[in-house]
Parts: sequence; C-alpha cells; structure tokens
Amino acid sequence: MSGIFEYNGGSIVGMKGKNCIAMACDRRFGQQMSTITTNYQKVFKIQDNILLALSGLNTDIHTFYALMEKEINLYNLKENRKMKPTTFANLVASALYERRFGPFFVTPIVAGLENGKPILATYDSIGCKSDLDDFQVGGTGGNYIYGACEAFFKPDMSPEELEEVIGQSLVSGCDRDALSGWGGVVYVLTEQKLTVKILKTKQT
Amino acid sequence: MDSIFGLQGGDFVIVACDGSIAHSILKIKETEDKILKLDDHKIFGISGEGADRNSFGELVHKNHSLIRYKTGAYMNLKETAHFVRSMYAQAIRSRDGPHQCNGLLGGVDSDGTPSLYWLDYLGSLQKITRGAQGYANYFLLGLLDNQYKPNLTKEEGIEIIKKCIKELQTRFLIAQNKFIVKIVTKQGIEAFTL
Repeated sequence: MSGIFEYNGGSIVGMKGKNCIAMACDRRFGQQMSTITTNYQKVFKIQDNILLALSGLNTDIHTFYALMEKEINLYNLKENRKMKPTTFANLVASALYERRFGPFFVTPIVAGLENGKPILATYDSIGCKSDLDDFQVGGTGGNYIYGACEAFFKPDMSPEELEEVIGQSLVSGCDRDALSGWGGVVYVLTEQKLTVKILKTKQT
Repeated sequence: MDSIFGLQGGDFVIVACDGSIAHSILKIKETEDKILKLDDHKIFGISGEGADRNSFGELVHKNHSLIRYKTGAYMNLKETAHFVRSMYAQAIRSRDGPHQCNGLLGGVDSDGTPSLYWLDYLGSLQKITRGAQGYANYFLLGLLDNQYKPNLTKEEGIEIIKKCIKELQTRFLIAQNKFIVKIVTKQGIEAFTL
C-alpha cells in the first residue's frame, strides 16, 4: 500500500469570495490503480450555511460524515438552534483529535457563511485547524491544485467568478493526478442559495 | 481468488459468483454458494476466505433479522447497505481486526427499485450499476462497462453475465468452471448454475 491516504484517491478544494464560499471535489472512487465508480461526491451539506468536504479513505469519509451529521443533529435538538460555522469548524478539529492515536484517514475542509462573512478551515488528519488562507486544498491532487489556485485566485470575487476559478483550478489539478478526476462537482454557497454544477475533466 | 460480479438492470439485480473452494493447490468443491440470501428480496455475494465469508455472512444475516424482529420493519436496500458498512467500519479498529471479506449487496425494494452496492473489507460503500470484487475486477470491468446500458431487461442481463463467465474461463489463470447466478426481481429470487 503506497499510502493509506492514496488508497482510494480523490481531491477537494475550497475558496473564499466576497460574501460567498465555494467547494469543489472530483468524482472518482478507486482502489489504487483500479477505478470502481465515477460518481462519488465528497462534498456534503451539513447545514444550510455549512459545507464539509472530505478526502482520503472512503470508509473513514462515510464514518466521519455520519459522525458530524450526528453531532450537528444532536446540537440542533439540545440547543434548539443552528450551529455557527466557526463552532462547527472547531467541532471537526476536536472530533479528529479525539482519535489522536488511531486517526480517521481523512483531510477535511469546512466552508461556511457566518453573518455573510465567509469561513474556511482545513485540517490534517489529527485535527490541526488552519483557517488563515483564502483557499485550501486536500487529497491526492492537492499539490497540483495549489499551483492553479495561486495563479487564478484573487480576493473578494463574486459568486460567478469564484465558480469559474475554483472549477478551473480543480480541473487543472485533477487532469494531472492519476488518482483523481472522472468529473468534478462545484458548490457555490451565498446567503441566498447553494448552486451545484457538474464539470467534465479528462476522462481518464 | 473468488470472483463475484453483478449488475443492476431496469427492474432486477444479478449477482454471480464462482463455485470453487480451494485449499492450496487442491479444489475441494465446485458448487459452493457464496451468495447469501438476506431475505426474499436481498442477496449478498461475499468473497474472501471461507471462514471469514461464512462467519461475516452469518453475522450480517442474523443481525439483519434481529433488526426486523426488534423494529417490526424490513430495512430497504439503502439502509441494509449502510448497516453492513457500519459492521465493517466498526471492525477495522477493533481488537479482532477487520472482517476479511468483500461483498456485493443487491436487491429490489418493495416499490420495485433495484440497487446494487459495492462493499469492501474496510467499510467502503458505493452504489453501483455494475461491478466486481477481487481479480474479476481486472477482467470484467471493461466488459461490463462496454455491454451495460440503462434499463436492461432480465434476458439481456443474463446474456451479459454469460459473456463475463466466458471471459473469466478464457483468460483467468484459475479454472472456474461452475458459476452460481442469482437474480432478484420484485417477485423474488431465482438461482441457477451456469
């Protein structure tokens, strides 16, 4: 096994815009060099104003997502209010650190809108939160996407521009990574709505 | 070394498995049924070592029945797939380690919708329309991708399975002569040997 994070493949990217955020992921699910499906989406809507993207080992993506769904549902029931994106971002960090010596093999990105202000955070697999930058990447194609993001990104983009930029960055990155691709999905979240768009990448 | 493969049609799901049990260089049996019947409309084809296959199969079957008796309702396919996945996922970080078997779970819900799920020993889960476990992946995925089209009829599905079997018998190093094929439709499960 070349690496447990590379076993199933997949890439994710998140970006901040002006009062909006965008997340994108590829659609491949594979077992090392073999592709099993091409419609596996790794971005989940946790709440109306929070998106969670997970890349890494498929089983842990399912498990961690179910764990976060449970946490947010319990929070809603107990506190009778929605969870703030900054709170959720901290929750992800502590949930990952709870498994410090037997971690989930995932690299999450959390994106949300708190009172119109965009929130973006990424973590390593044991919960080190990093919320300092305007874009974050994860997964096997992450390094390729970094380059494309750095070139195309500028601060305070509108939702339309952001969708275009994040789409291009994801596609460029996944076209180069053997373990990611087979299409991409872009989610753009504004105060009013969430738009979902499916992209074509190189079909290999 | 087991070959488990299957596909989902318009109103049915087929799962096929090879029938051989091997022990080192010896073929003990050729007609082993590796596709477990969970209830009248669900089948679970399991590939892996005999002991793991049998013990995990029993575990899934009995827990599935237990939920039925406790809650009074049958789980639909999606719920069953997630339940089996959670059994796999809980095991990987447990004292005894993962259940060393992979599977294809297929069936038809009470409203007639067919679904097929790919599960592996770590707890990966994917809903698929065609797929295989084990070495069969390498030989059959291309063929299944080529032959598959949406809303297949039962006869077309069986033809594709026959082509898959022929492919394995031609190109796979391990001789697998008999295949058990099970088809689930709204009416129930049909089984035959090819």
